Amino acid sequence: MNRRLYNIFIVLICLLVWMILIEKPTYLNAAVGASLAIGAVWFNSRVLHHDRESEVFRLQPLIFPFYILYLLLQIYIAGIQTIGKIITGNIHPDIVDIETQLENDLYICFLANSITLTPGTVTIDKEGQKLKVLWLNCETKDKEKAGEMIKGKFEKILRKG
Amino acid sequence: MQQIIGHIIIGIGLLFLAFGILGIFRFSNFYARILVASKIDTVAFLTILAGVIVRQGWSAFSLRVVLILVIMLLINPLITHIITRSAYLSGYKVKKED
Repeated sequence: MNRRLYNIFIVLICLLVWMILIEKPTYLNAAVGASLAIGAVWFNSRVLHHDRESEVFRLQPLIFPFYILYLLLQIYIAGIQTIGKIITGNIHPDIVDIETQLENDLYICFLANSITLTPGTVTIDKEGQKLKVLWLNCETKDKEKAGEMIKGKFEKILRKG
Repeated sequence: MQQIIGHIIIGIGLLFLAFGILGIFRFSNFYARILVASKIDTVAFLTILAGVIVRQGWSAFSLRVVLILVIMLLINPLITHIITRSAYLSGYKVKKED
């Protein structure tokens, strides 16, 4: 995605948020929103953001919605499992180290946040490709087995992107 | 009909919330508590807001709720991570539950 396309995309997202918050879809409101969005993007790219790191990261638009749906499904599955653990009281919280094969920092960030969003696991630390995860029901301390159980399919979906 | 389905979904969300609070009181260890508490602001919050959206139907209000949902999905893991990380760096030990 080149710079201009990226800026247009950001302006459209800002405009969408503006229109949702303003609640009255008139041309005047849209024009005010668009000019404010363009101003904000211009200010951000010219004044604040000199190093332009945003060009390094890319997202696959087709994989992302699928990923969100899978994440929501996993959140509910893990949430229902956690209810069972709360009732029985049978928990073994512990901290395990897992390793990811993802190389892109943005994808590692997505993976870590998805792990935290899933009830029962919280990411504590990240060093390169190593993640430190607090796990409610620690069944194994083995790096690969624990990684497979915690990361699940998240990593496989992200690796396609 | 739409309102009844919305209320049922909100009720399910409140049930998730109740179990989360039960978990906070049930476990004594900090890490177990934060793991259980993080369930409240993901599963329960998602379900309650989904119920609100279904109850209101397709309107500007629902779009705002969707916006809150998206912001919550972005910020919530950060908060849980920061609390847990600061506890870990402060030297809290993971203890087994009795």
